[in-house]
Amino acid sequence: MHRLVWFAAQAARSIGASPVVQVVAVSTIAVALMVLGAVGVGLVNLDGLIDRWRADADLVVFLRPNTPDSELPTLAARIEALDGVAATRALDRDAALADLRAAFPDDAPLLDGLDRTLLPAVIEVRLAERDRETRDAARQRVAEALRAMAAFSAVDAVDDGEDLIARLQDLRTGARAGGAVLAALAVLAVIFIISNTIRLTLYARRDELEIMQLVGASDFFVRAPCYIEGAFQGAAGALLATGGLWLMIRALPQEGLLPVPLGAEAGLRFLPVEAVVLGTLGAALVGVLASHLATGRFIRRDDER
Amino acid sequence: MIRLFHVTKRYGRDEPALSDVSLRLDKGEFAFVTGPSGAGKSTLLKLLFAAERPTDGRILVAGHDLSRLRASSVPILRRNVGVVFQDFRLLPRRSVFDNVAFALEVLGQPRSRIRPRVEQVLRQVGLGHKMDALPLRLSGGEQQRVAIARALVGEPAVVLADEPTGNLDAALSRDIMDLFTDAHIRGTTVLVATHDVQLMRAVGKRIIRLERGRVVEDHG
Ligand SMILES: Nc1ncnc2c1ncn2[C@@H]1O[C@H](COP(=O)(O)OP(=O)(O)O)[C@@H](O)[C@H]1O
Ligand SMILES: [Mg+2]
Repeated sequence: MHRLVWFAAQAARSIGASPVVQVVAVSTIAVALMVLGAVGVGLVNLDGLIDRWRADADLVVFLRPNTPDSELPTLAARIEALDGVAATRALDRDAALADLRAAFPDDAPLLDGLDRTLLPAVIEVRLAERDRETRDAARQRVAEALRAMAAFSAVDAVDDGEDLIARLQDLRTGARAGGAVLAALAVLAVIFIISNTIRLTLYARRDELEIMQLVGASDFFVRAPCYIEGAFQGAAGALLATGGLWLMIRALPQEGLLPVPLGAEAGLRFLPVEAVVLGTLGAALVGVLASHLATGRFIRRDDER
Repeated sequence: MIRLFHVTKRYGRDEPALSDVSLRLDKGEFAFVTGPSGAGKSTLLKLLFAAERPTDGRILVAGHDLSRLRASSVPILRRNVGVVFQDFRLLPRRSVFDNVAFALEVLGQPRSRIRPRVEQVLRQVGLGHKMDALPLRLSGGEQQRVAIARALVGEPAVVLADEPTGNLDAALSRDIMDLFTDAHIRGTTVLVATHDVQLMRAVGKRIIRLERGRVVEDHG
């Protein structure tokens, strides 16, 4: 225990002896980690988006172009009778066009001159299952039942949202790969910064290290304070990055950030607490590793063996 | 305690700094190494605390075979060998007490054991009243006393001193030498490199004379 106290005191001494170097190192680390954190926030929100979309998506049934409007109520009733369907809303071609116009009120000129033959009649299907966990399966079951109806009814096609989900998932896969590359780069950057800072502080303490080696201190006694210093820099950088990122995200406008039809519920989500804790511990660990590399070189050079 | 068998030390391609040196210092012995500048005195001491490796030959110090000592075992040897230099090598920002205590702290000793031992050794070298002073506020003789206290605080079996009085006048040199003879009386093996003939005469111990890396005289 007294050793740990001594190591910590040495580390504090070393940190206190070069405040400018420490501030520069910690803020540079923070910048590198903030970039990584921003990608993390993006991923978290993309995940959230996919989950929400999955949970909220209902089904849309497109009818064959030649379907008379009079058939709609019967078909809607039949669909409503399917297991797992809560309600339906039938839109004939006029209503479908009106719906489109209502969705894009600002683009009225663009929609001018469209007639009722442009859009097929649709029946929107609302699922009975509201539970997020089980809705996905329920939606697929109902979609299958609807597709089966295509053989003997006016049902033409069924949009179960899987296309969009698949596209979002592709986006997520890409973002994750990019994030992994960025994480590797960030780790390298942090190692680079910390090992160079440690080498600077070791250089500043070289008289002390010479005496330590002269009186027979083990390498571990030379290194341990550096490990603490490196861990401190990593962790401080991570916490600073977290704080900075949080402030930046709060400063962003929370409305209209996400594509409207995907329905952002409550603005951007921040990184989960576990990610912040793990990230900070990870950065501290990387700091220890960087110190080990820096002191290894120093000790070997100093002892010339 | 110290044995050299046909030791040669060569730096690069030059003439060897030491050639075919064989020596024996028994436990508790006191000896001087002397000789002109460049004779190899410092090299001899550096070999003894493993700051340099012999090019040839075998060296035994306090039970360690230095020719076979692994780098990771060097600290263990050094805990048994106190070293004093001409230029003191004190840490300027630490007090006298802290300079001496540092040598025990870095070995992982607890504060409770360090304090009484450091106070004891500082009183022993006559600095009991200046424990809180910073080294640069002390005279050269006092600074060297601090360095000697640091070398002695771990109770090493061997003490090596390389021109410890090189920066001091004659009277101070005698006082410093008394500290080494005190340590010697308490059973420490002491080897002091110096070219101060007066001092060696006054102390009256064994004198090993080196010239161009060879032992040319050994008596006392
Ligand atoms: N690190 C070194 N590299 C190269 N030559 C050295 C080194 N140290 C000492 N020498 C040479 O070895 C010889 C002995 O030096 P040294 O042991 O310092 O002698 P002394 O201490 O008796 O003055 C000298 O010729 C010196 O130039
Ligand atoms: Mg010399």
